[in-house]
Amino acid sequence: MEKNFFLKVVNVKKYFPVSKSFLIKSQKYVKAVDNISFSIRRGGTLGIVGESGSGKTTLARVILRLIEPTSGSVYFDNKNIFDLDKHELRKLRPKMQMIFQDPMASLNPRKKVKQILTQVFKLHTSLSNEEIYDRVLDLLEKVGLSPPELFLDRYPHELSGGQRQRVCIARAIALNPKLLIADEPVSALDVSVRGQIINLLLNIYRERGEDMIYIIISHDIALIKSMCKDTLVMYSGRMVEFGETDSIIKSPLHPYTRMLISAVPIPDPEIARTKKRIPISGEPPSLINPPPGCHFHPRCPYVMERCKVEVPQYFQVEDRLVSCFLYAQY
Amino acid sequence: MKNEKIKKNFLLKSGYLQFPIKKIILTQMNSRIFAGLIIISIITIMAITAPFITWHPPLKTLVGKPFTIPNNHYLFGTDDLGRDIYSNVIYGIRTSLIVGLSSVSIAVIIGTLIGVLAGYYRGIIEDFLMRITDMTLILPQFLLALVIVAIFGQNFQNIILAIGVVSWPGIARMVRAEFLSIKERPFIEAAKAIGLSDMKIIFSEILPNAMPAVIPYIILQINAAILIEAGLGFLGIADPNVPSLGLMLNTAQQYLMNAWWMAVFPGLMLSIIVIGLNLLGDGLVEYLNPRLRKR
Repeated sequence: MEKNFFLKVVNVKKYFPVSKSFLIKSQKYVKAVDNISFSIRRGGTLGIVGESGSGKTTLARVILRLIEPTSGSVYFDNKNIFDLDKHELRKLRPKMQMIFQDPMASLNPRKKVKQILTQVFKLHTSLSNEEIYDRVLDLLEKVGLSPPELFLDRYPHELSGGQRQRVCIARAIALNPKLLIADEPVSALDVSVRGQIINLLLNIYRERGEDMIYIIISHDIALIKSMCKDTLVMYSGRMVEFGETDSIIKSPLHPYTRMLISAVPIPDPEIARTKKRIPISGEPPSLINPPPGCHFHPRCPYVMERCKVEVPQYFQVEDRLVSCFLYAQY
Repeated sequence: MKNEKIKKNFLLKSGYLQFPIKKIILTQMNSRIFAGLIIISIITIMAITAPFITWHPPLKTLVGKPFTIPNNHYLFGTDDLGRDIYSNVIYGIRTSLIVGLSSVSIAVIIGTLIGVLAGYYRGIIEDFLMRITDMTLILPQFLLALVIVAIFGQNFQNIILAIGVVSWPGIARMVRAEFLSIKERPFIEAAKAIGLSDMKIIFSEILPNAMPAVIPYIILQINAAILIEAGLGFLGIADPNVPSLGLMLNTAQQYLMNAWWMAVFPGLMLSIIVIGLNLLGDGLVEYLNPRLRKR
């Protein structure tokens, strides 16, 4: 791994065919991820936000090539991940890891915690059993499961939700990945343990943040704000805005981002009263028959004739990319 | 220090047999599983200890007068050739169990392999394998086994093979169905993400999760195999050098009016085996399917 590695996503698409019948191949697709490009450098943190069904998780799975992409390329470790064969990909796996949304579902119900964790080491290292045992204990301690001996022989169903997510995090960080994608790491958890898990993720980042790329997928803007330097806003499979988190939250450009930001509750009622909220009207578009042109135009308060026909390109506004004709003059 | 080492190695050793047998016995075992287990264990013990609980060699003729009524020495009487029916029945259990277990093992191996390939790889492989499965499934099991034995000859191995070859399709379909659903669960994606190979994913991640649903069906399949063997025997298609409950019934029907004991005891024993396995299998189905479980 070279010193200044990066993750570069170029025109990634993932289309799911809608119905497969025996004879007639349907031409309809759900465009779950449609032409997304971005890049992050070493030490970068990226938050991906968007409402349910906007393709955030699909994007993550495509980047890690857990599902095969329709087209595009992802450069990581100076290799195009989409060009690698099975064997090379498996070798690269320990360098890119993912924390899944539902910790219960992402742990094999018939494996004990120690089996889940030792498996990772056995697969990618040549450590002896004793060394692995020590590493597993360290790992459990690191993710806040102490005393670690107590958790070794437990099955996932014998753990609480927060503990399960800690085991998932332990599995993901076991081999010091260079790319860590956390897919809604706290959405399946109790509000009371969310804070702890977020702190754990922050600690991991602080410990070796300069040496890795962090991608956090969430629909919670507050979480993104506290953890990520950059933000990518997705809507209906497309990227609508990409830029620094602070500036996006301070002055959102795309109408959808504006609505999203204004929907975030403000803790101080004094400020909340003075702030004008933009209500989100309408509902998320159908993915099978999306509206033509800009997918957001039926809900957009600034809709123009052009939006209904043409798909907006990315317009550069200062250091941000926005996909909206309002910024076409820039 | 040495103790610690042993402890560590012990801790690292991973047990894969996690079918909830302990749980069934200790907690909510239902009465059918219990009854089935008792019957099957008694029968198994009888089959294993056959040489010690019988006092006549099973196939030897003229150990007593032909057509002796059951008495103290010939517990179940003797047959037309003067063979002791009691030892034949006990050894017959042995044969039944061996046929049941080994033919179902063959069926499990074929069925699991085909089910795994079809369920995991999908696509053309699945279509091809499942059509073959369907084609085998529509042929009557009993007749197919009959034809196979008729073609390849009446000996013990051929009967086992024939029964094994006709009883895999159900297992293949069940394994495939389980694979289809388990394959889509997130922990399989997690396994892929840490870089497990397909083989490891199939055998150490999916299969242990798929087996509990298939095991009751396998037990019922053992039952079916025993019945097919008895049926073949009743039609006279059996290895004459092996004591068989079905073959005994075949002989018995000619003398049914004069020597009732020749038919009653083998028939009764066959029924007990089948009832025991059925209770066990049905009980397990109910136990593993919470919707059928009574509260």
